[in-house]
Amino acid sequence: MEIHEKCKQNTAFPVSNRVGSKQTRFEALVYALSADLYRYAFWLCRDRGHAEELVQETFLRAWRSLDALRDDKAAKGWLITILRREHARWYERYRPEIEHGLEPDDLAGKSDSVPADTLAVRRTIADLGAEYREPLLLQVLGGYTCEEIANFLGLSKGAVMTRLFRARQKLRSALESENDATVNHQL
Amino acid sequence: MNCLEFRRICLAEPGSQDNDYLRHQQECPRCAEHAANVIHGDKQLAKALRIDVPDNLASRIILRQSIFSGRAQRRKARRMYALAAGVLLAIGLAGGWFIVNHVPEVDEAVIARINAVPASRVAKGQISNAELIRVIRTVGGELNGEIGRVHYASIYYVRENQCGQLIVQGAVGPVTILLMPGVYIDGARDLYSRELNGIVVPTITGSMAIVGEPGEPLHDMEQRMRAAVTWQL
Repeated sequence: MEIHEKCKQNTAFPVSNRVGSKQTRFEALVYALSADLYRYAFWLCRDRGHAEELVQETFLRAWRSLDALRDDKAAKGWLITILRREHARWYERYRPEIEHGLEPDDLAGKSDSVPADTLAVRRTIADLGAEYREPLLLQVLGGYTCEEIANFLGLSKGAVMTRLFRARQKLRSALESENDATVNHQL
Repeated sequence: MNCLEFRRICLAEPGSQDNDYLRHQQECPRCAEHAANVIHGDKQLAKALRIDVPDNLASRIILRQSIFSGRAQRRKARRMYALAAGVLLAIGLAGGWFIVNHVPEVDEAVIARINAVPASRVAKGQISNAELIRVIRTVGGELNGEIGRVHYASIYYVRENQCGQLIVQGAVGPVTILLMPGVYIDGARDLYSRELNGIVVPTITGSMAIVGEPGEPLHDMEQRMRAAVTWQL
C-alpha cells in the first residue's frame, strides 16, 4: 500500500503555478515527469533509444497544446495518453523492425551493479505480453487505480483487474521457475 | 468477502481501498500475510521497473522544444510578414484601382447636372441678355462681352454652392457651361466620362466645366467665356 501511495503523490505533483509563463510551466513539467515518462516508454517499447525519442516527441506535442491542460494535477495522465498515442503511431509504422528481443544492456542500463534478482524481474516483465505489462506498469509505476487504468486503455474495470491478476500470476510463476533453475544449476 | 475473493482482488489491486477488502484484511491473518507478500513483491517490481534514465534527459527535451519553438516563431514571423505584404499589395492594388477608376466628385456633379438638364432638351430658344446677366451675377461674375447665342441659363446647387448653367450654341451643337464658384480643382483637365466630351478648367473663384458634342472645340468656348466674363473675388 505504501508504494502505491507514493506513486499517487507523484501523480498529483504541483507542476507549476498557473500564473507562470508557458515556458516555465513546461519546464516544470519536464523536470518533474520526464524520468517517469521515460521509464514508462521504455517498458512500452523495450528499447532505450526509442524510449527517449518517444519521450521527446511526447513533450514536443505537449508543448504545442499546453494551453489545453487545464488541471496541472492531470499532467501525468495527459502525458501518458500522448505517449501511448505516439507509441501506437510508431508501432503501426515500423512494426516489423521492432520484433526483437531485449539486449542485456537495455535491462541493466548504465549501472554496473544491478542485482541479479532485479535483472531477473526485469527480464520477466519484458517477456510479459503487452496486454499484461501495460496495466501493471500503470499501476506499479504510475500509481493508478484499476478504474483509471481502464480509462487509459479503453477497457472495463473488470478486464483490467483480470489482466493485473494474471500478470502477477505469470510474473510469480516465471520468477519461481527461474529460481528453481538457478537452485538446480547451483546444485 | 471470503478469502478467495480477497486474494483475487489482492492480486489485481493490492492497494484497494474497498471497505470489504480492508475489513477482511484486518480479520483474516492469513490473507493479511498474503497481501503483505503481494505488496512486498510489488515493491521489488517497482524497484526493477525503475531503470536508469539517460543523463540530462530533461535538458535535452527542453533544448529540442526551444529549437522547435524558435522555428515555430520564425515560421509565424514569416507568415506575418507574408500577410503584411499581402495586405500592402491589396492596399496598393485597391489604391491603383481607385486612382485609375475613381471619378472625381466635381466630375460626378457635372455629369449629374448634364443628365438632369440635357442640352438637347433645352437648346431651342434664346434667353434675354438681362436673364443671362442675372444668372452670371448670381454666381459672382460680370458679363462684359458677347458669348454667343444662349439657349438656357439657370441656377443650381453643388454642396450649398450656387452654380450657374448656361447652354450656348457652339460650332458643332449646343454646349453646356457650368459655372461653379467655390468648387476648386487642381488644374485644367478633361472630364472623366466615356460618353461626354468635356473639360473642367479652374477660374479665380472656383471652376468651370464645358461639355459639348464630339468634335466641338471646347477650348475656343473656354477662351470666349474667359473674355466675356470677369469674376468678382
